[in-house]
Amino acid sequence: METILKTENLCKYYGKGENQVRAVRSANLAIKKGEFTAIVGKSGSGKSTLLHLLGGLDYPTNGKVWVKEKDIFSMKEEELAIFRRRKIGFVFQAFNLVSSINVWENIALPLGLDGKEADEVFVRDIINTLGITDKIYNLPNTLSGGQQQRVAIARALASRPDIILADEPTGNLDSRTSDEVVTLLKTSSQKYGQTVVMITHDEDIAQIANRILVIEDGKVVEQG
Amino acid sequence: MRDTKNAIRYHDPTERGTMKKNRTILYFMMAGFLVFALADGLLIHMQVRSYKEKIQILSAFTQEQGEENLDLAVRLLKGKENFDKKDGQKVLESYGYLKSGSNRYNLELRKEIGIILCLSFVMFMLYLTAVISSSKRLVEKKRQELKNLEKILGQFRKRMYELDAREEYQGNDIRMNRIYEQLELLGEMLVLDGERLAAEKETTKSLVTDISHQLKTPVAGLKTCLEILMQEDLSEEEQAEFREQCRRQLQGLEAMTSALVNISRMETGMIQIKKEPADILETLIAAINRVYLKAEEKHISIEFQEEEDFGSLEILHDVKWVCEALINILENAIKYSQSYTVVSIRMIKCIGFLRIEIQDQGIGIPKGEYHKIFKRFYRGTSKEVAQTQGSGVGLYLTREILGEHGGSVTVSSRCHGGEQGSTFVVQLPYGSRSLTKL
Repeated sequence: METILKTENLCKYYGKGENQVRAVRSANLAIKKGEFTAIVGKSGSGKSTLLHLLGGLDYPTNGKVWVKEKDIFSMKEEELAIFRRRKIGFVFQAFNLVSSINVWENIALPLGLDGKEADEVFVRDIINTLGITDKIYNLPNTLSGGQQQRVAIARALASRPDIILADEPTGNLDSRTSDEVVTLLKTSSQKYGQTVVMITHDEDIAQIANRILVIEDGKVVEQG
Repeated sequence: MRDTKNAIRYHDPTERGTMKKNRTILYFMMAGFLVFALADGLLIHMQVRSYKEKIQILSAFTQEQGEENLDLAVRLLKGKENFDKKDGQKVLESYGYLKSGSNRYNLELRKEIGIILCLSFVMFMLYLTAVISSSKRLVEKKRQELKNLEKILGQFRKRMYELDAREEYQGNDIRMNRIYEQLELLGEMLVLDGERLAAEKETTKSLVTDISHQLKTPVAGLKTCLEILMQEDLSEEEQAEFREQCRRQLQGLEAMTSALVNISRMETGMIQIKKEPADILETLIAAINRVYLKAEEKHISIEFQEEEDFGSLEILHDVKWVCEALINILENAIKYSQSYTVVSIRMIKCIGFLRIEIQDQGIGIPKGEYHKIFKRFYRGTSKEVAQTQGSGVGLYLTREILGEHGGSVTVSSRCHGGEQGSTFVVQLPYGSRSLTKL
């Protein structure tokens, strides 16, 4: 299948001289369309930095990232912002929901930013798949952590991005809820044909993936 | 023949379209004409009235004499004087001043009417050109849009699903945007379908390779055994040993083929998972019953714990295949455990999933192999695994079956704590029907 996300010699260094920290060291990876990939690493291994680079949230010291055969760092900042909004969905550890608006609005909000009208049938289908149908008029604060993360996943799916980047999506959840949320992320992304790159320190969680990459001291290697 | 038919069908609606369009323009023209005619009539009427008034004033003055003129003027200005000055009018008429074109005011009136008519004619013409050109522009825009759509559909037929034309389209027409959005979705759907098809083909191919590979080893073993048996210089004892060897190889082959039948049915989509609401507890008990004998042989007890009282829990699932999936996990638990140990099963209701934890006190699984054990034909690397018979298919099938249900199976280190053995976690979604009940 076609490669949707590719990096070439991707590096990110912080600081200079002796104090230099090599967060990501010449990472070369190719992720195929529809794949669910987990990147496993301990804290401080550079995994979040890698994900930020993949999503164009941070600029690399060296190297390139291609999303759908487009070199994302060759784009102007504004262009990149639009590209990111259309092609990439993010799910974060801290959910990052807007607390003053209800669940439905949280999910439909990014669609509005892009000037798209919310495809209500599609969004409702996502909400059903994620099992938050009866919560859509609630405010995020009234939901449990697992429910909030499901809202965040629904938000990421709703704009039909090609790639979903999830940074420790289960970091704030207990183990049972973690299993549930990750399974839902997998089921829903498969249903809508989306590619997922998930970062986690938890090997139990990573099992759900089709493919596991391990990052250690900034080096990315394939796990069997 | 077919071509002409198509051509006719193709032309008809467009012609009707132009006719309809022309009629709209005609409507616009007529409406414009009426408006201008009305406005002209009103203006001309006003001019004529003011001319008449002037004549009447003059007539009044002709009628009055001397110093009464001032008085008359005052009365006229105050509007008290009625314009009924037939006498004066007659006098003016008799001098021939009231014939058309014979006085200054009349000439002026004619000139003004002329100007009004000319100006309104020019305005009308301008209006007409505006109507026609704007309708032309509209038609041109529509044609361009249709051409764009045609181009996209043409690309679709060539299996190119990137919507470049979408980028070109700058308009704000909501309906047009909708169409483009739908086209984009259609393109994505076609791409996805194509890829699924290709992936399916690929899995079938690799399945065939894998199967032939898996069958080669036991068949070769069997063949060697038989060949040795056919040499007649064997002692009774040796013969018995090789016969036993053959039997074991055949047994392995049998287990392998039945596993392969299952797996190939699953992979080629011959097995359709039919989800029906059924009591999951009964499915679990059926699975336990199927492995009970094997557990008994090794004096392994199977304990079942419910976290709360379930009664019966209806879940949308395919009873036969979920049972198969659970059997595979339980069989493994028994196979890789010592005698006189315990396999415990826990059932927990979570938010969207039913969670079944199956814990054994067996040989355990190294962390590095967690991900691999679910791969097709993968078998553990430890000595114990190598000594036990197995095809490396069971857990793979389990994962596939549960995946089809929107669920999952994982090995958990967290639920297991520091004890020996392993814990498998099965998650099954309640399914939308029973979710609302919870």
